[in-house]
Amino acid sequence: MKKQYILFVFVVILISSCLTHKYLDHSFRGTYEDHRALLHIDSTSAPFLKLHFENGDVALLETWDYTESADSVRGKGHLFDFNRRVQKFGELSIAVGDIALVESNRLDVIEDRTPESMSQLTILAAVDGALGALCLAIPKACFGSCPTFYIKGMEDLSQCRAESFSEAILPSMSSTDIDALHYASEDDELELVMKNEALETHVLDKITLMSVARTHDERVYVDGQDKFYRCQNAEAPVSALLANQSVLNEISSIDEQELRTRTVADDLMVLDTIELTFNNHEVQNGGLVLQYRQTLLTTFLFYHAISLLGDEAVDQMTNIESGKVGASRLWEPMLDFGSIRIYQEQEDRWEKIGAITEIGPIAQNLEVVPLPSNNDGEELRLRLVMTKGFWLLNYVGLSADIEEVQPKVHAPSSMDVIYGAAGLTLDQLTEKDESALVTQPYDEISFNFCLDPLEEHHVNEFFISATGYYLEWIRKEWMKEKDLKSFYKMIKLDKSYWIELAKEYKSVEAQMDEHFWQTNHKRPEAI
Amino acid sequence: MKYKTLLIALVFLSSCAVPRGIPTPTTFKSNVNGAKIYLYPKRSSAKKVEGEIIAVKDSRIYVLENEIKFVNSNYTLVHNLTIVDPKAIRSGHIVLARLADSQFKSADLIGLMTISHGWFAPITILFNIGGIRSVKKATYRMKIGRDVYWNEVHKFARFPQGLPPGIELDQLK
Repeated sequence: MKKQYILFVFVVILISSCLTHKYLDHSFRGTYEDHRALLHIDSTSAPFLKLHFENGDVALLETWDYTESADSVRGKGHLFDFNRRVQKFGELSIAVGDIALVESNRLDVIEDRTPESMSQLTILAAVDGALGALCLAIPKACFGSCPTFYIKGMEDLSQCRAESFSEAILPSMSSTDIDALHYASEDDELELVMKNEALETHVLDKITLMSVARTHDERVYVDGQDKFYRCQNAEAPVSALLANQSVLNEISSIDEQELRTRTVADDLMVLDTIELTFNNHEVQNGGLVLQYRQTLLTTFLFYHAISLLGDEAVDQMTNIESGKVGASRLWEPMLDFGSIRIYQEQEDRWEKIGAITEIGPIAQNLEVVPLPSNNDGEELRLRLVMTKGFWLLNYVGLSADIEEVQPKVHAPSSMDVIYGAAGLTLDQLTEKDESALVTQPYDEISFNFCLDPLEEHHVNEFFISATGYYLEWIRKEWMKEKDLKSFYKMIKLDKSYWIELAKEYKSVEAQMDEHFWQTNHKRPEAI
Repeated sequence: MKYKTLLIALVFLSSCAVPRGIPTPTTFKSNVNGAKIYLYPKRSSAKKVEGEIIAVKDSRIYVLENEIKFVNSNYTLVHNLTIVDPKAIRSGHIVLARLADSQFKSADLIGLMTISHGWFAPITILFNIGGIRSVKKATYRMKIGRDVYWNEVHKFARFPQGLPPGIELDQLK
């Protein structure tokens, strides 16, 4: 076990290495074989001149002066031999005839970045203490998120466009996630801001922007298999019933209204069924469009599972990393428990036609589920079956004539670190052998994308594709509940254990949202 | 006790892994050695070359590699001069200086603070080490083929003017 422990630590070390370098162009160093080049160098702005000799010695002059008529360079410094042992120091006079090569450097390019690195370290040391207090009240409602994406200039948390690879909680679970950005534009460039707003380390391997051109009347959606569809505007259902009550108002338009149900006090497994009826016209190649996000039940369950592992969380992670325990063992029971299942009525039977499992309570997900068969003019009846209190449903609509399209893929053309560690560069994302881009809490990076010109009356609909994983920082408050037996009961969906869990969640459910959003980790000057 | 020893060892290891022989931004201006080069060969069976650039001669890169070897019951620093044909190299980079002067002691201190976390430490150490190392290993560097071309590598050698005549290569250290 200890071997695996150490192995896992080294995996983390390897991942974290070579990640914050700053790349320079070679031109900061000038070398001149003709000593007369010294005439063109300002001795006051270029101290630390190096004069190389044929025999391998080098003179390093901290201050120096040269006039062509004097045939020598005078200055104060050190003379080194070919193995760089000091031969002389103090006042030196070098005959220009002895100089094989003159070297000068623009020293301003190699500046000390201690303040930036210290701020990174300070965050490491202080963030747990400073923000941990906020999490004391309801530890399992602390804000958590994967990398969040914003359109530049629309960067309030409520305007978050996407959260990527939410289920990738370990290196071995690294995954690619494609999300709609809910944004279309005619512009020939787009600037996206990526933030780390949680107590997490985010490891981003790759990021690309995807675009599909469409007219103003069309829409573009992605499905659960990452296929893209150009669709006509979707149509809301004529009827939407939940427990015989109409919920049409909540789900018939994309707005701030969401359909929310609450959990049952002693059972988290209770299901809601929403009966949808769409107008009775012919639908060829139809697709069900859904906009949704999760409640904080997922967050609660994830944090709860970690807290049950206590100080053995590392062992469990190691087991997953080493392949001893499948990563799916952690997530799959909960994924099934937490999916929206979609059924279509076909000749008095209800056929399951799809499921949605996208994790995340912050950004709205917009997805299409293609319908498997054409509707021949009768009423189209669908059912959404989902765990009570697990989902926030914003919109459901039916789109006709959905057509699969290939998106254009754009790599970022440039990147700027808005806030965070020095040395983060685009190369960390584009080079296969150079690891990944790692962000710590508060870090903010903007990515710029250049786009092709559009045809007249067209706009680009945008999607973000991000590959990576994240490491959750364990809070002290979570460590008080170690109970491995309960952990295994939890992931095996043991009924009696889940009754207790339901009670605990119910006791905090009403305050979860407020607490979650309050503990969002804005950087100090932004608070 | 074993547990504490392991933690201390891990913190120590995280410090050890910082690249050696690389100047800080302050000492860079007075550094008179060649820059450190890392070269990755095309053949997977060939070993990576890592060391000080000594000179470039006849389009070959002379690299002084330092290796600690166990010789005559003692650990000794052995200097090996490796001559590299750029055609055999897949990729490489030249490291010029560390990114910051004084992050090292602070970083180690934060690493050591992990020990005070008690039984909570096994978790936090993973993340602390990751963060500390990303700070400690950060360097100013140039990617060969993009930031610096092969015909400009000589500028970053100990002898940018070429190999001095009359020097025995095995005398170099």
